[in-house]
This record gives sequence, structure tokens and C-alpha cells, in this order.
Amino acid sequence: MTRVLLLRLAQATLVVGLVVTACFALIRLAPGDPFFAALEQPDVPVEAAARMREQFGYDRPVLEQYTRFVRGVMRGDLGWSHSRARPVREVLVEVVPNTVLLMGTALLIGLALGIGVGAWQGWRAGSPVARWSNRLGLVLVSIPEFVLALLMALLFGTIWRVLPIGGMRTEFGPGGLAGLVDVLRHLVLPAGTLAIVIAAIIARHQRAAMLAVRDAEFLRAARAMGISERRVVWQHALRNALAPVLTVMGVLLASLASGAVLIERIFAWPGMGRALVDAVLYRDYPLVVGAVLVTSIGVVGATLLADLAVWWADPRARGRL
Amino acid sequence: MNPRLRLPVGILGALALAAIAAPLIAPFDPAAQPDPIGLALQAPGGVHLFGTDPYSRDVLSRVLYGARTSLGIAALAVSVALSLGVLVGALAALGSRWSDAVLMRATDSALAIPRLLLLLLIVAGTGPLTPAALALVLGATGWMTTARLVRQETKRLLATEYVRAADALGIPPVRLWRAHILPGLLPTLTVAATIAFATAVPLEAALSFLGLGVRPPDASWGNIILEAEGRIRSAWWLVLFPTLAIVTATLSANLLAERLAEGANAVGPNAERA
Repeated sequence: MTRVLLLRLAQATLVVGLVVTACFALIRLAPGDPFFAALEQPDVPVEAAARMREQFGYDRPVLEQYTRFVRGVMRGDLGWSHSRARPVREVLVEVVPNTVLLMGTALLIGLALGIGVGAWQGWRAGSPVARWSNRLGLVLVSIPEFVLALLMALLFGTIWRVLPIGGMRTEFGPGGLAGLVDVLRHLVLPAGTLAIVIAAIIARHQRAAMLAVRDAEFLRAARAMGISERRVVWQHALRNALAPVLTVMGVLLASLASGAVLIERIFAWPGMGRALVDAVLYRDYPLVVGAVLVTSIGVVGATLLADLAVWWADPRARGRL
Repeated sequence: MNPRLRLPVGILGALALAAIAAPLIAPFDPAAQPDPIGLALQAPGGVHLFGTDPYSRDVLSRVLYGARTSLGIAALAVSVALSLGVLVGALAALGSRWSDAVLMRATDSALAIPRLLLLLLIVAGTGPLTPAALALVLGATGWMTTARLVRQETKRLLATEYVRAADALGIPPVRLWRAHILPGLLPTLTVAATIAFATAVPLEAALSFLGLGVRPPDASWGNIILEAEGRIRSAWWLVLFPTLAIVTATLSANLLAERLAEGANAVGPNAERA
């Protein structure tokens, strides 16, 4: 166990290292001077531009800049956000919790819904209701998340006007408990949209996995031993069908992060995705790199956790991990 | 043709036809702004079947020309992604243990950055992209799953009797791969291409919707929706028609992938998202 764990940790560290390098390289490879497009204006004195570059170390050789960048990342120093005139870390500390709240809520609801619905679809595959719900699932995974978000905003926010569609709090709204309710009301549409997207993807995997174990020998054996049908489904079938679903968690989390960027943009959720899109529009490279790095490290870490969950759920996978 | 493939292939074909024939069937010039004040945001009906946008451009014509841009970009992106994926996957499977490990760790790292974020990172560096460059960038960020599939399938085929027999006859690796392994990969690749298409269409739309993809006056399904920003209730047609186009393209591609996978001995669609 420790050996496998260490191996996986080493792999994850390597991947993070490569991601850090890729982030640096992509920004440095950009044509022209990637930093401070604003400084190339005719009314900016050459000395002023040179001084700015010197101040942020952009006049150094590429290799030195790279080692500085890596050292900074290791210390948790992600540089200076030019568009917000603050350290990138400060900006991220402010927005990341909001994104975690959004994604965490969506993930919990989406996983529970997706696993439940998918398991039911797989178990009852062939029945008309399950067939139709499967078709509905295909339609749902084919609707891009930003389109779904727009439709939800249109329906619940502007036609029925039951829920707020922008921001995270009512401006000058109540504090305390009423303030918490206010945040939850703002959370419903963005988190709900993401949860539907997650549930649709998970349900398709869960259905396939459940279908694969439905007629397995070990279930017949369990029934023959007189184990109640409910325990057969929950303890034996579902536990075995969970592993393939857990293995796609990494890919799912990556797509969830992409989805969150768009959903935060549409619902004006003050999270990392919105900060990222703004940073791209302002060409604030350090903030872009910081946001991408933090997200990727989060995805790598969560994938590691998912792998460990597979280990728990499926003893057969232990040799392969 | 397998009768179950007729429906999705028919829909995709119709979309492609509409895209190719856009100059012939579009009622207006998609970039023309006849009267940005008097004719802006006309509801669907009359001369403008899909209504007009805030600059009085005809939405039907923009959706048709948008099909050209959006489907063209997606198709080019898929061919780039597939070529890269086949190259990396085959090299990993056929090369030494070291090159395999290096290529696969590189694939893992590329997968660890969510694709939309990777695209944003690139766009932040390059600034506004032309549609062709956008397609290349989309392709360059979408090869990873194909590479994994190709590696896995190549390894499986390498272990089969007929490939081992061919190998024993002394056929050089490149020819061995091309003549004996590539044909076996085709079903998997067809499904992978269809799935890649179903992911590329909404990704391009999302980027254009964020204002970072195809830029006006060029029409794309995503940037038509962007014009509805702040007025989705009063100008629902700006959201509805391009949305229907995106969902139709994505849904039929997903359906095709699912049905291709049932028939072929291929790894099925995993409902993968951006």
C-alpha cells in the first residue's frame, strides 16, 4: 500500500511539475513580447518600459525567469496581477473559496443524482422507462453547459422570476442567517446547472457499469446464499459498479472546472473562472497562469483521491493501480 | 449502411450541406447592417425568419454562415487532434519503455489542465485568433484521449497472433503498424473522431461566446449568442436558434458515436466533455 501510494504521489508531482513548465512555456512562446502589450505604446517612454520590465524581472534570460517562476510557485508566490494591482495570491485567496463552494455543491448533488439514476437505469435496462430516460440523458450530455445555463437563467430568472441570476449576494442585503439564505438562493441556479451536467455524465458511466455486473456470477452466488435483494443491489452490485465510475472522476473534474468557468461568467459568480476570463481579456498573464495552475493542481489532487477510492471499492484494482 | 446510423448521419449531412450551400440559401448578407436603429432586434417573422440582432443583421443568415465557421473549425480541429493522437499513441506503443513513459506522462499532464483553461491560457498569450488558427489550437488541445486509445489498442493488437506472425517474418515496425495495426484501429478511430467532433463544436461555441473565439463580423454559433448578452428575455431568438444548431450538431454526433460503438468492436462514447 505505501509503495503504491508513494508511486502515485511521485507521478502526481511529476505531472504538476510538467504543468508548471507548460504554463511558463505557453506564455513565453507567445509571439512578440508577451508581457505588457500596453507598454509598446508610442507615448510610453522607452526608459519607463525598460524600468517596468526590470522591476518584474522580464529582462532576464528565459532560463533565469523559469527558475524564478518555479521557485516562486514552490513558495506559493504566483507573481503580481497587473490588472488588479495586487499579488496574484491575494486575488486567488479571495475567489477560490467561492468556486469551491459552487463546485463542491454541484459535485455532491450531481454525484448522488448521477449514481442513483445511472444505477437504476442499468439495473432496469430494457424497460421502457429506463430506455427513455437513457435517451433523455444523451440529449442532456449534448447540451453544452453554457447553453443549459442560459436556458435556466431564462426560465427561472427572467420568465418566472423565482431566483436571482447574478452574483452571490444581494447588494446591501441582510447579514447573519438571512445573509446565508441569500447566498444559498444565489447558489441554486449556477450549482443546479453544473449538477445536472455532472449527473448526466455520471449516470451514463454508472448505467454501463451496472449493466456489466447485472448478470455477474457473484450476484447469483449472493442471491443463492439467501442475501436479501436490497443488499444484493446496494452492497454487491453497486459497490462493484462504482469503480469504473470513480476512475473517470479525474476527467470529470477537469470538465467540471471548464464548465465552472462558463457558468461563473453567465451567473456573474465571483469565483476563479470569472477572474480567469477577465484576466485573459486584460492580458494579465500572471493571474491567468495562477488560476490555471491552481485549478490543475486541484484536479491532479482530486484524481489522486479518486484513485484511492477505487482502491477501496475494488480490491481487484489493487494490483493494477 | 447500418440502418441505425441513417438518422444521425442524415442530420449531420444536412447540417454540412446547409453550411456548404450557405451563400446560396442565406436570404441576406450575414454581415450587412441595413438599419442598425430601425431594424435592430426584430422578432422572428416576415422577411427575417429568425429575427435580427442588435446591429440589424439577419439571424438566419448568420446561423447559416455560422454553420460554415463552426462546423468547419470543428472538422479541422478533429483532423488535427486525431493525427496528433495517432502519432503520439503509436509512438508510445511501439517505442521503447522510456519513450512510452515520457509520452504518457506528457499526455497525463496535458489532461490535467482542463481543456477550456488550456485554451484560455493559449489565447491569453496569442491574442485574437483567426478561425483557422482557432481550429489548430482546438486540435492541439484535443489529442490526448485519442493518444491513450491508440496506445491501448495498438498494444492489444501487437499481442494478436497475426501481428506477431507478421513481426516474426521481419516486417519493419513502421510498415507493420501501417499495414497490420492501423486497419484494426479504424473502428476505434471513427468513434474517437465522432466524439472529438461532439466536443469541438460546443468548445468553439463557448470560446466565441466568451468573446475569445471567432470575432464579429464573422458569424459563429457562439458569437451570435453573445449578442444576446443582457437581453436574453427580450431577444430570446438570439439564444434559441444558434443553441438549437449547436445541440443538433452535438446530439447527432453523440448519437452516431454511440451507435458506431455498438456495431464496431470499439471503445464507446464516454460522454466526455470539454
